[in-house]
Amino acid sequence: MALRSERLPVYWRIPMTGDMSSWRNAPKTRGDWTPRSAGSLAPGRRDDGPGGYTYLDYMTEVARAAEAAGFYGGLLPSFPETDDPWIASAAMARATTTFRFMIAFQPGFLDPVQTARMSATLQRLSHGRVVYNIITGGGGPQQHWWGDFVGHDDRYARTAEFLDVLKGVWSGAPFDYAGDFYQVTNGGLRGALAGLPVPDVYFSGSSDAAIDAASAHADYYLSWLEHPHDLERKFDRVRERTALLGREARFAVRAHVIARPTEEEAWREVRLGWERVRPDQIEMLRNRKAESVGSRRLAAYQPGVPTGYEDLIIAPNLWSGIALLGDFPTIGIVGSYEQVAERLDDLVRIGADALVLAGLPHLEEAYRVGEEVLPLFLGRAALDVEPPRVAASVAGAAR
Amino acid sequence: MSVETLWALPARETRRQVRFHQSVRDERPGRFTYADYAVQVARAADLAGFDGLLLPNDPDGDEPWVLGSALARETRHVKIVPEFEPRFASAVYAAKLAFTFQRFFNDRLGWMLQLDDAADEDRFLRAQELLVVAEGVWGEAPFDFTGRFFSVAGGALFALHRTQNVRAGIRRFPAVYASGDDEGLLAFSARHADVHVFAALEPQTLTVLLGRHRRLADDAGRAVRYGLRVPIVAREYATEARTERDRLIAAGYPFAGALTGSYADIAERLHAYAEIGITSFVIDAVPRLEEAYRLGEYLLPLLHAPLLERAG
Repeated sequence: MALRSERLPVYWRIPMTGDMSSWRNAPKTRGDWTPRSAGSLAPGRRDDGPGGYTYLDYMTEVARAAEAAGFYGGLLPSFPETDDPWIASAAMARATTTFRFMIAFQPGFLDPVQTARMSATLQRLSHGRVVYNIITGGGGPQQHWWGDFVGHDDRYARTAEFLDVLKGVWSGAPFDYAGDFYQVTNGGLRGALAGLPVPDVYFSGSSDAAIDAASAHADYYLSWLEHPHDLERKFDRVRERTALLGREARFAVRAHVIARPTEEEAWREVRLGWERVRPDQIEMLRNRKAESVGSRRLAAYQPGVPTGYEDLIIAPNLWSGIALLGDFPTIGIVGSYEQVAERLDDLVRIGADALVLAGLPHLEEAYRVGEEVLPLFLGRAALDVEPPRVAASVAGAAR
Repeated sequence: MSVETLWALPARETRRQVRFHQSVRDERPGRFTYADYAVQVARAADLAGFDGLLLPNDPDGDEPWVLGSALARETRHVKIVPEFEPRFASAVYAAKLAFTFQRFFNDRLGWMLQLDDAADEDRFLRAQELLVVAEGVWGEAPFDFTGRFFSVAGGALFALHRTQNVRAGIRRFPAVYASGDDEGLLAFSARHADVHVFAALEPQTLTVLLGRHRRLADDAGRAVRYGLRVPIVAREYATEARTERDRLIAAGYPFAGALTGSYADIAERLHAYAEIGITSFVIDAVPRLEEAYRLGEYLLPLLHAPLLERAG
């Protein structure tokens, strides 16, 4: 159990595939993902020549804003359609001072010794600001896209070996290892790369295999936001498995937030976003054959066929339609600044030791959430305070 | 004819770590790392007119991809050429790292393949598969490949391609550099490399090697460019250069075979290499920062000017 006095880290998300100007407007006008849409600020448009801005410049502005607004660091997700977080982090480290870079990757992407060397180098040039978000699950065509043909449960065995090798070479030379996936002879970080702090490991995955692997290797078990009751049960499972290994589990939760001065304004944002959602998008999301257990868990929050955005309100201030408004996890927090802070406090009460937040657009909302919501968020002090009674009307304020 | 000049920037530097006496106030410890110095060297090479930076892979130093990305952020024109072993990543991921680099830094990446581990019998096949898959997924159409080391199904960096500005065009696949002079390497690079970098042998010896390599490349229906990794000690007067070379050797630098002489001497030597077909010079000179300015100011004008006249 983390110490009460320990300050709780709050991360922001760095958008790795462009950014939308608001929840109401679908095209990613920031970045070059939809360069021909109206209002696009695609880099290079001014002269199209080399030497102009690139998308990295906008990402760096988001990191600077989040750093200035008080966030501890940023999550850099990695999917087939995103830019690469290692290249981005190395460049952004030079433009920031305290901001941590939570780099998402799958063990199949990089050799573990290479990962150790890249991480140690990044630790050096950033003065210790590297954090890992290790992803293992998923599967299907996307996994083959990456050139990875190892089966779902075997991938967790590989992740365990990957972390053994990574931490082994990190502890210094000579390091030898003979596993099913990796072999190392006389390895070990040397010279300038030796003796640096090992990055914290945030570990994602909802399957049994994931939870077993997380119990053994994670510093933080990272989950998407779910209904608090489900999240609590999931954390209990991780807590039990971890305790069996004589370790203590820590938890982190990822959530998109739509925070406005009043709850009415926040739901108005949702309604205006909902109005641009086409029926086929709803149908597509319902029929999506989720490869990951986590995605299937989120899909369960979709009711039959929603007739309005209100149908997707699953608890006070929790809305399960975020995935309809962009390429995001399903559930987000919607409410006044006070309400959003209270819901974040609720997450601490069920065990969150860290948060990863996001909002659209990522630049301006980093300031808004940093300035308006985080000062109201109690962090671990929430554990000493009775939760406020939530308004009985779930969606009433929305209408 | 024009030549490319790459500035060699090692992954560590020992000469810049001067410690004060403990009784002297020093605010530096813990605040600077090698990257801060490397950035200055990179900027020096950029400002002084070099075309690129070669970042060698050194197990005791900083990792070249991460260092290279940081350097790219703080420079404008220089090409960044990290050296890496083909086993460092999955082939798709290598392509993704490269594609992001090209997007962020306007096509300034080159690849220097490290293939000098003679104990690794599979090194050429692995490198070949890496290039086949990385170039395969670089396109927009789904790419399939099943190899011994790398495989992929339906891979394509299509999502990133969609982002291209119409006029800016598709991001370029990085130029592939290889180096070494054993038979296996020559055969590999004739079929797969864009630039083969030789050590600075005498022009006569090199002519033979170049001839052999050209025949191999011809057989493969390819044209390969040639580079030279060359240590240089240049001063206004040749005597000054020789004195400096001796100091460097005494300090432990492997500069016994360095081209040593006046700026005009060195330019002449490089022109002789250009005559036999070298179009890319990878230059080692220390200290890396000061020498980048010196050679940029005194050598590059001599190197490029006669070449331009001939081309004109």
